[in-house]
Amino acid sequence: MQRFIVQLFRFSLIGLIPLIILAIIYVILDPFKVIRSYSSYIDPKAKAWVSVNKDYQSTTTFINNSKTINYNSFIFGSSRSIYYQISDWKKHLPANSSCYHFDASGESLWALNKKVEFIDKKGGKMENVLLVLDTALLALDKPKKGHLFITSPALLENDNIIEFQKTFFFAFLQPKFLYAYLDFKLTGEVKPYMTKNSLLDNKPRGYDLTTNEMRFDYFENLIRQKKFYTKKRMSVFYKRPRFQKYSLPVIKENQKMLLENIHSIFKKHNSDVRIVISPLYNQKKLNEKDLAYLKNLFGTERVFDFSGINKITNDYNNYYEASHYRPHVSRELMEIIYKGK
Amino acid sequence: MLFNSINFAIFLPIVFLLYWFVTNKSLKAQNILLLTSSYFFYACWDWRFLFLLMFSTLLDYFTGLKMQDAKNKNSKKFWFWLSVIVNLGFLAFFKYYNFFIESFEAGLSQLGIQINPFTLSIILPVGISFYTFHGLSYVIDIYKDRIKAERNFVEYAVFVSFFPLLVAGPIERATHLLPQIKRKRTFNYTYAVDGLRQILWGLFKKIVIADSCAFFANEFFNNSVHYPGSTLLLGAIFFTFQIYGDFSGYSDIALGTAKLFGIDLLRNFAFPYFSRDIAEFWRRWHISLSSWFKDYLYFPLGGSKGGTWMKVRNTFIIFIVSGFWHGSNWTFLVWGALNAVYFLPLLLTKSNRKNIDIVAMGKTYPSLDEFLRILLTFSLTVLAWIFFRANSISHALSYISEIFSSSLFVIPRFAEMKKALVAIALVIFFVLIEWQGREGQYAISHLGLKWKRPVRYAFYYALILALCWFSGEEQQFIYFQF
Repeated sequence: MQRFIVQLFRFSLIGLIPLIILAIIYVILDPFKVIRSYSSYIDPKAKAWVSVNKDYQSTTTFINNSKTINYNSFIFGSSRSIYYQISDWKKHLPANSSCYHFDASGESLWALNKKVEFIDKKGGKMENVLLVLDTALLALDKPKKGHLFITSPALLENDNIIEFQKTFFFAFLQPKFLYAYLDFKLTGEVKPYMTKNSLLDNKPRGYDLTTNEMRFDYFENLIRQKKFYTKKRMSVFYKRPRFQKYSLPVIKENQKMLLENIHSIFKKHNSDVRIVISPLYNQKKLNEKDLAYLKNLFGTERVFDFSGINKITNDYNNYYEASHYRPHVSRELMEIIYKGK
Repeated sequence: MLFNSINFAIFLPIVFLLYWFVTNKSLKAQNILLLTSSYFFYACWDWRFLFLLMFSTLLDYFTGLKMQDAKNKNSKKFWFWLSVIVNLGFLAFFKYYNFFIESFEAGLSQLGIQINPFTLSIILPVGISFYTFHGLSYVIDIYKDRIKAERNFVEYAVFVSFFPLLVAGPIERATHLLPQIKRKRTFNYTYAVDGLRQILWGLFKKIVIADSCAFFANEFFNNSVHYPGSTLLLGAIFFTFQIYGDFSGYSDIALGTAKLFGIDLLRNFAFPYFSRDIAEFWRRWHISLSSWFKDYLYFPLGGSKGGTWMKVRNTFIIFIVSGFWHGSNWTFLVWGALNAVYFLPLLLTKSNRKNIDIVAMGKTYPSLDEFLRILLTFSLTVLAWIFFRANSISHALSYISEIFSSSLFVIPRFAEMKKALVAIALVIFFVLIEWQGREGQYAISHLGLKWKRPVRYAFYYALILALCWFSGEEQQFIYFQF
């Protein structure tokens, strides 16, 4: 037995030495900004950066900011909600509105519910709410995995903290990432292979810490200069069916429970809720049953479905790529949903 | 708790250390530790179903004793059937209730009769098919006077719920496992190292091979209408390796883990994809289940002793029941029936036991004849797996018809081509390692034993590195759902 333990210890030790070194590097450099606390998790001036977990970043920034700012207006959604700019939204809100963009990459209905519950439990106010939804978000009734999507422990009363930290450490150990990251740290150079494979990002961006709003004016400038829609970028705009296609129903029992909970919290807060069903490039219309359910729960006058074949989705100029629509579209949608308010 | 999870990586060393350092003086204490840790292991999945496992264990324990002590045949028969009916009743309820109800409704609707069936939202208790079969083999063996009933409850409960085999087998026999549980175990260095090696190889099969293949198998099967026949064929091959890596990987981890506790479990896989005919394949695939059906179903039905009709009937029964055991879907039944069709010519020509040795034993390469036979058997297996993986029979048929269309000759094009090439390279590496190790209990059981320690360690570290590289996209073990 002793021999077995000694051999196993020796084998593990030899193997663990590089792992221990990497763990030390990981803790010191904290590439995903999940070990230490930061005043801001996004630095617009950085030469290049590692994509942070947006759920964690939004949640932690909200916790930090809410010590000094009394937010009462929230935008919830996935990265498709990023282009709903606070400055545009504020035009439709009462003057005393204090806005926060509480988004997450690949947001799920499950995590959105957690965010609404979290604000409620913390005693926050939700007077104005803009929910930017789509079929993909509505379909997700369980927590997502992966370092870019895992839910912030703060939203789950730290129940998933081990899983959360493990996910990031394992993401750091992914050889492709590790090589690119250490190469960048050692040389200070951003090489094409790093950005090509999304190991690091260096697309210029703006960020407002108070509202947690990200801006990509760089893309808009390129569009204005007619340099954006290159042949390569155009290749992502695939051909779509000519006839209206509908998504399969995604609001099932679990989704109904989550939506009812979200609705009851909004009701408690007497929130002015507006729901946008995003005009996605795929032109698939939200299933009629799902739309009817949302309208029945939140009120017909509060749910606005822009999915399917329409003026917005027909024109590729309204999109950066096949997934995200541009700020002028969001601006136009907000004009519609707050019209006659 | 999954074998490929951090939780298990913490759980296993703790139980191992307690087993050999704290409870090693007493067999009773060791067995109590194994039982409590097994129940904890199971409760980590869903504690509510632990009561079902306990009930099943108690039922078989008491009916076993009642049969043993029965004063007449009728009384023995009563207790036997009570156990069989209750065990199969639970299995039928949890696994097949909705299937039967929905099939009944579909059948009536074909006749123009509409009913509003009462379906239930039933969660399938993990491992129910496995521990039910454990228990059944025990009561059948007592009924047939092959074994005596176990009077020590803890020892019997460990036999049913020993955590390495609890959720996905191998399906053990009381004659094999119970004597080991009753016997004092002493630590054996070589055996424990072998166990660790087998765990490592099992993890490699699961995380590196099965999960890499799963990515593409899922994509091609879930979106089969968008892909040409060539890509769908690739998808079927990916699934063929996914299910093998997944299930045999699980079995390797189970066997390796049991070895750490000085317990030898039944071998479940013996390089099935190197089989030269379908009969050999079934002697090498999920061995513990095949032999269970053979001993407790095929032989009682008369086996191959009767006339031709009886042989055909029994072959179809055993394969269809085996298919049905895997899940409540018609696809599994067709999969079973198709294998029966494959098997039948061998049985009728009495050549089903032609290939009982290891292929190309002692040689580096197979002969051309052997190679072609392996290729043919493999191709038949790939075809059958399409039914196993498809969502419905119509899905399987459309999948197969696309493969056998002119689009089979279209060059496959899909997203993540590079990733697919990596997966193909891994599968080739895997097949080569399996081929060289086919004479052992598992592929790397003898690989590198004569190498110098640094080289051997480097090989193991390379496997561990591969595990780290490919971890993060783990899929659930396929056989957990059965």
